[in-house]
Amino acid sequence: MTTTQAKSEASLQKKPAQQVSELLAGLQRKRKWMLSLFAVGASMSWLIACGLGAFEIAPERVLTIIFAKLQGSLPEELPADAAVLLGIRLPRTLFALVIGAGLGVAGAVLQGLFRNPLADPGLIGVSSGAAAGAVVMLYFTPNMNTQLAGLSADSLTAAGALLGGLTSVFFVYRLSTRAGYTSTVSMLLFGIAINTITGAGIGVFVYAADEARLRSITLWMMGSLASADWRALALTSCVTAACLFSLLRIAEPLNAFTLGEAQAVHLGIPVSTLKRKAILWCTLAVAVGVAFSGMIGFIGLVIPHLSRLILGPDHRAVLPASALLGAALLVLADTLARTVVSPAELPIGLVTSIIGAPFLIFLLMQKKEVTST
Amino acid sequence: MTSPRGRSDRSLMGLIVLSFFIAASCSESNDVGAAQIKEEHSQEQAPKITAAPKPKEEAERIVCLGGTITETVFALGRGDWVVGVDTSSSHPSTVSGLPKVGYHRAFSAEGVAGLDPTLVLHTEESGSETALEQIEALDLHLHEIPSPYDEDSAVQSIRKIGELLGANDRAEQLIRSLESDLDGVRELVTKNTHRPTVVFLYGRGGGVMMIAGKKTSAQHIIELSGGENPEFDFESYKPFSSEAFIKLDPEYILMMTHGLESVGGKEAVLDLPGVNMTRAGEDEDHIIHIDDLKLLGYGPRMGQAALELFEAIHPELNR
Amino acid sequence: MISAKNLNLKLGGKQILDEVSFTISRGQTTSIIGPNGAGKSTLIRALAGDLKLDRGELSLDGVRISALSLRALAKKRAVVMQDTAVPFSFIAAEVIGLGTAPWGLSEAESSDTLGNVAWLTDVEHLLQQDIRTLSGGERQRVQIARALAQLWPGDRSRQVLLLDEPLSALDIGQQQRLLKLFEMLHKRGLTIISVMHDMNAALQSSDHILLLKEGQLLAAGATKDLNLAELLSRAFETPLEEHRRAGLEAPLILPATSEL
Repeated sequence: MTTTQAKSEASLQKKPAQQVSELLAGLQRKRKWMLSLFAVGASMSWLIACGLGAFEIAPERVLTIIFAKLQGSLPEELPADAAVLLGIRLPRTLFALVIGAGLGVAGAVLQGLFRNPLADPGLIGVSSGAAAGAVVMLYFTPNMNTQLAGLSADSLTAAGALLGGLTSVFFVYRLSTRAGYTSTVSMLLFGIAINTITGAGIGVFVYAADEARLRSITLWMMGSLASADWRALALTSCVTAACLFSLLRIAEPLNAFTLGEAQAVHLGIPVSTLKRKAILWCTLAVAVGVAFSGMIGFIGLVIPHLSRLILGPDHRAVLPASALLGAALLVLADTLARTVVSPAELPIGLVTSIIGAPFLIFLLMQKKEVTST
Repeated sequence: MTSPRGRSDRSLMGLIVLSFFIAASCSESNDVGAAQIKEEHSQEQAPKITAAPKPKEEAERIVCLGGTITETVFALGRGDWVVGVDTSSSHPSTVSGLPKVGYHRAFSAEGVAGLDPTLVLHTEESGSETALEQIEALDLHLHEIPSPYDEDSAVQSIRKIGELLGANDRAEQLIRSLESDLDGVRELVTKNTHRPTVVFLYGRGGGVMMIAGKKTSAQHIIELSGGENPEFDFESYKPFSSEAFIKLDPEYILMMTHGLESVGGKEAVLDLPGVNMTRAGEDEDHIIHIDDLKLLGYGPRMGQAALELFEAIHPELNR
Repeated sequence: MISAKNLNLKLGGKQILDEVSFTISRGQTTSIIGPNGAGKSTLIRALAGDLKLDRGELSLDGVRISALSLRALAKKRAVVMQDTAVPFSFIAAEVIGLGTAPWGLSEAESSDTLGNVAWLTDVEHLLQQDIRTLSGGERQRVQIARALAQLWPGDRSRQVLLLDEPLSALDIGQQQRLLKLFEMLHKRGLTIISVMHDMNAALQSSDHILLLKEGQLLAAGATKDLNLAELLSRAFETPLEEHRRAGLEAPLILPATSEL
């Protein structure tokens, strides 16, 4: 190519640097805009969700009630809609935002870690392990008034799920790590094994369960945000916030990692630490979500896809986008769950599956246009 | 279980369950109920809930969480006060037209609140705990009615509900009627020395079959009806095994009606390995089914259930 | 610049590197050549610091490689490995930008670096394209740009560029263009070491070679000082001869004709 020959080595033109910085600045701008848009979208979704349900409350009234509460100027005897909003709906919608954000980011990070856009938090065994833990607890707590060590049945189930999720992943991680090196391929394989084992365990309990227990187990497994009280919200928020903070910090090294592990090492990135952090914080974010709300699928799979479709694969954009979109999606899905068969509720896992499955198909069909390497 | 393939299987299952769920839950009354609430709230900006309980002569708005509770409320003549029930409430048949707030062990707090009840009756099994707390915090007058498990607790339950609904007279009437049913059965039982052995089987579609052992509610109703429980060496439920069943060798098999249907009817039960080697496996008449709630709900129809069971296990007394 | 003393590595019962010792001076362009299974890729990986050797000392710019932190090492040497599939749609600019990771540059410095290396490797027109849609040759150049970005903020005379079979996926036109790029980098004082399959390309582009066979170093030195025909015939176990061509510094190595 003549341009190469013609290039004088002494003089470097200013133009290329300018071009590049314009390009990068343009990308940054677009990202900031989209993320702001997503933030606004998530807030709007939340506001709408607060207003919909068995009681319909107009958005302005929602805000009025919230501000009155913050200012402490609510009457002693609350009007019905304020009571429902503050006591039931507010913790629940906030809960949905928090869990949705956690699931979205965890999915995005794991897709980067496994270098596979079809990865989903369930692959490493956290969801099924958490389910197994919860099912065991649900089986052994005969009725809602059981108390053990001062914990209610609900709390026991959540604790069981949390423990189950963390234990599963612990096994998968340890089995896949030799001499300080964690093989992601091994993690996938051991993840399948653990999923099968926990699945079988769950099957045993389901088989042995009587009518009442079976219903409880099935309903739990299909997911529900109904256990959202202020206590659960506080706990989940703290944990998820810690997870989000830690995961956002590994966004940049994750970019290099997705382009090849060897390359990432050559670029000076401590890959083993990266994997450990990614797995730990993703597991925690998902486990705490599953502990309180059962199995909610598809968010960790579909939301990162959507984020990447809009913003490109740079994790510094994809992770925050996945948090915001995941929050928005879950809060809207929960609203559907609460309103479609009112006064009963649909299990949220069902709603996300019904929305998520066709959406995933749609996204995958988009991908067909790009030729793979 | 949560592999990508497994997930799509589950979502397909979910779709099927969902359609049944929607079909079962949605009804015109639902829409009426929701429309009612919408109207109410568009007219008044913020209706207040008074702290003091209403005088008993005024109509209550009751939500019943539990099949026996619903049945009892209707039996006390307060059926028109009921604005919502749980999915396990199956009697009387008119409840199918009422709004459902979910399964009683995991009902929707907001759903209950949305029905604007003045009274919420639940059992010790109702939940989730969070939902109960939320209902409580909304001052919706939660009352626990422990699930009855024998004659005395059944009577107490009726009495308590009657008290709450200001229907004490009607409650006593109902109790007398129940006790007369029970007395009738007791008399028949004492007159008749033959006590055939009966075993209760819990069946559920998908290959689940369990035998009820000691300390089960089924055991008690069998005794009450003049049947005899075989010598169990286990408590609660145990998965069906042909050896265990042959060892028990009952004369009759008792099942809940829905359970029997879900496993494929009497032929399916007779086909179970080992059943045909027992006296219960002789013919279809040895397989008895009674409506789920009537049999194990220990509600107002308890006496009737006992009588039905008595007659079924004493065919020689039939006219 | 690089000093290797008695490098030994045994993997799976096979001695992959056997008492390999050599030195490479600053600004030298070296090709590692030899028959298949000679241990060429292993050697370049060892030079990259990827492998733990059983025995031996490997130093880069006077410091033992094993003593350098990952990040410090990343600032001194850049590696271009063979093409791997990328599952996500990063654009070329993003891939090149990854190179600056070890340095923690400001946005301005980063853009500057990117602009320069993109110009050098002639990939400016590809910057906004999805890397998966590029041809093999274009992707290779983007990777080299990324490697250059990794070295750019440092002292060129104390850095090394390592390449594992950089020409294998390219057609002859792309190969020639890439070799001209290497020449330009060489003139700027960069030390370049590459594993080459194609002997003639190796000899054309490098002034030094390391000839490996079955883990052992058969020869190390300047191409003009070595008896290439004899050495290479021995290494590849086939008669080869040198052919001089006007205008080419290095001879062409071709199979010996039967009339010899």
